[in-house]
Amino acid sequence: MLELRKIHKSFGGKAALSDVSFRVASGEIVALLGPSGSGKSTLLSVVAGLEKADRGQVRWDGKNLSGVPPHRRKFGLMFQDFALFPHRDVFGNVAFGLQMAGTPITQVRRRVNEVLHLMGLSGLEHREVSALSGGEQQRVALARALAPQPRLLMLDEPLGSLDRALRTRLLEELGTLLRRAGQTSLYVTHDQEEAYAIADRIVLLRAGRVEQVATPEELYRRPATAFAARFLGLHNLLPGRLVKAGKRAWLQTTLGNLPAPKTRLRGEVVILLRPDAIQLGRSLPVKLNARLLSKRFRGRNQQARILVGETPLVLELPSGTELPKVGASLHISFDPRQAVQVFPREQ
Amino acid sequence: MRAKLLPLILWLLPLTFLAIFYFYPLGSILGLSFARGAGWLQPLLDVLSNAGLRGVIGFTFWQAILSTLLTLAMGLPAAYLVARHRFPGKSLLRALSGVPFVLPTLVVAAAFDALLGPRGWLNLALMQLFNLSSPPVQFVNTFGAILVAHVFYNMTIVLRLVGDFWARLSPRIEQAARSLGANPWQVFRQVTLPMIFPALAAAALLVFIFDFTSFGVILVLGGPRFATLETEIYYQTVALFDLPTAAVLALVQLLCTLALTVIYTRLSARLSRPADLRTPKVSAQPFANRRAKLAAVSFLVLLALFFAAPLAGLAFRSVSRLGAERGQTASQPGLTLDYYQALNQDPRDNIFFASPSQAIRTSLLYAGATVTLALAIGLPAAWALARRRDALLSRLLDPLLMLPLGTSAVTLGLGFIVALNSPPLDLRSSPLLIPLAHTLVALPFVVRSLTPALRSIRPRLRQAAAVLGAAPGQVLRHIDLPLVGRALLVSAMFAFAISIGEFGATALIARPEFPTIPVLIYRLLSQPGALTYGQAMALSMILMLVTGGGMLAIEKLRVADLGEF
Repeated sequence: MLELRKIHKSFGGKAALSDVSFRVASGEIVALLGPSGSGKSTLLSVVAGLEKADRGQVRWDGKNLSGVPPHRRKFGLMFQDFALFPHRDVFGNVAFGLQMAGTPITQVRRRVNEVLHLMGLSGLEHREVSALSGGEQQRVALARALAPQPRLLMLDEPLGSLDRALRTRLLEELGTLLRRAGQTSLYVTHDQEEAYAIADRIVLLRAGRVEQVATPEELYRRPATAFAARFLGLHNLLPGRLVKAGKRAWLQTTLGNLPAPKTRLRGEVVILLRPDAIQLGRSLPVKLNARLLSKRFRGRNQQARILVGETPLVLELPSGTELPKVGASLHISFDPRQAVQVFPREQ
Repeated sequence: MRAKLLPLILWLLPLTFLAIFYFYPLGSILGLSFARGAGWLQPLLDVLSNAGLRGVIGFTFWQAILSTLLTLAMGLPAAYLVARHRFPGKSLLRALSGVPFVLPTLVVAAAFDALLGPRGWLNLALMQLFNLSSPPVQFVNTFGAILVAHVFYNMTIVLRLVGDFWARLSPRIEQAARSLGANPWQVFRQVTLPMIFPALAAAALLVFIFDFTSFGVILVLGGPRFATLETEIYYQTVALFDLPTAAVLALVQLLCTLALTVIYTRLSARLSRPADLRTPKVSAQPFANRRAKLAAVSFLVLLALFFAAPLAGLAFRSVSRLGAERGQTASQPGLTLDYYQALNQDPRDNIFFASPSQAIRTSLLYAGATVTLALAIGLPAAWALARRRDALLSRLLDPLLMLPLGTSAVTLGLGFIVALNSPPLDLRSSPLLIPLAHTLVALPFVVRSLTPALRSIRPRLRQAAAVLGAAPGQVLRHIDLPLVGRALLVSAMFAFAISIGEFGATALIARPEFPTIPVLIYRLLSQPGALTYGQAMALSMILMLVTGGGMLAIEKLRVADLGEF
């Protein structure tokens, strides 16, 4: 089990990581999600031992790894730019880790062939790595990291540079592969869809700090902060005030007053009105009149932009839902217990 | 503090070397050419007022212009075919055309001599056929020989520079012009030519520079009737000992090549301007009709013959015993290894002659010393260039390292003679003199192949190795050394091939009793006798195999994505 305790790391006085703590259980896949510059790659380097943390500990099975150099950690790292060895062919790259461990050559061959087969790279053993396509290089990089059976596998944006179709396919294969092998993994990505698809749990990073740790479902259902909600692509974040009077509490918003969910917050807040929890018609408790600004077909669902008074909102509706003409008025309704979340106002 | 000092320490040796063995000799030439006093321009005016020397300068330009035009005339159709059509043997043709370019001039001269010279295949065949007593075809010592050899030598430049550029231009543009009503000639004139012009101009200029400074070809194939600046500097130095005149000629030569090189650099910078780029595969087109195909095929066959025949002629001539020659008693004509076995034999038995095997030994020693020197000086320079942090310093100093490339070999040799013959630097009789000159010629190549390799050792690769369990020592052994090792090997082979084939500078500074292989080939070729000729052929063959093999190994060894030429 990997455990990070209060990791701090700064470059030239600028904090890249502060107070980062979380755990990765044995066999678990944890995604490290965050926008670029949030410290994901730095964190991987610290875990791998390539960078030294200024403070805090990286622990494995209860043992502090501070003094352990990278080559003794038995962690695998797949680099974003692959970092394939240009002077070694495919076989030579994949075999590298096993050779460093002094594995007998027959076993090296067996394992390399196994991993290459797994990655669909059989037959490419003796190709120069520079002669491979981007997708093939990616798989060689992954095969190289997997071959020595690391106790922790770290992947830095492993599907970063691929086109969408290939990405979706490889993501699925990768998930199956890691799960079947029971491979403890730390998966870095900036794409929430990727994180949802592959991870047991997601660590959301923001400017070097852990914003939230949750399962994909929890994260999507209950983002902890306005940043999390925005980063996950949830629209309709409105400023508002939470007012309490005796036992009653309500939200003052530009949409009017709404019943407040249970919260300790008070005063200036950010309100999330989940786009997928708003329906057309008047069947749910809170009913509003709106005007349709635009609609966009997106395959399985459609996105509608509407205006309630002066406030623009986004609706995500099933594709089958009939929408009026653009410019026409429509009714919407939602259940505040499902649709409304409040977050502290950000500085 | 250490970080600031390191680049300076790295640059110290290369810069000192250049200062002593490049700038000081060139400065000495400059000094010598103005030493006659009487004002700045006087020596130049003296040379220009001498009708003979004026003729030399004129001929230098004339032969270079004509050679360049001929090279373009042959090269452009070839470039077009390579760029726009697919045909079997295309890569073979490309490779074949590149062979002469890497061969020492003396080998090329010997190859043409073996094919078309008075003792060459063509004349032998004609004499046999028509029972003639003297060779009917006069090729050696004609202007034509110079031109043909120059085309043979430099056509690959046109083929590669123009052909590759052309191949990447989208044929759609030409098709668009056709659809707008332009006929094929108008398309070429109005669309294609303007588009390929930067590549064409760069290729033409590069060919011109090579023809302008050509030495071995003119000396051996042109003979005494033809003198260019380069051969005249040699003649004035070696035969007349008129160093001041040689110095003025070298100055003229230097100014010309400098101007040409500057223009070339400007032009090739324009080459990187992105055009509408395609992969060559998309651009390949079928031939329009049978006649076009037939014309193309016959042209290509002729071209392949043109490149292959002299080299094959040389190879066969070096293992052929011929019948009666110059009235000597005939031995049985046929295949023989006599000339190779006779490499130990000094044909003249004269203090100024050496046996071929002695020349081989001398050349190998010089080449070994050159490799050592070039790596010792080139490695720190390449290291400094590879460090991104010293970008400004590198940008300033990098062109300095390339300067010897734009200086003619004979000028370099003359500079050595003028500058390094008196204390404190009296190296006249030092065995290091020739390796030093060769190092100067090889240095740009060494640095150019080492720098990208050193740059390619990104910290990322070391990290990747460490994460995979490689201890620091293993990282050094399995990552750093193999990566640099290959480049070191490539650089060493460059230095070796250059040293072993170098003729221009060596011809001036080699001591008569220690000729190198090219110098001895030159001497043997100018001697009568079947044995000397056969020895020249055998030596040329060995030189061709060594340099050709070296260049082949360099192509193979280069890490695919690291090339920077």
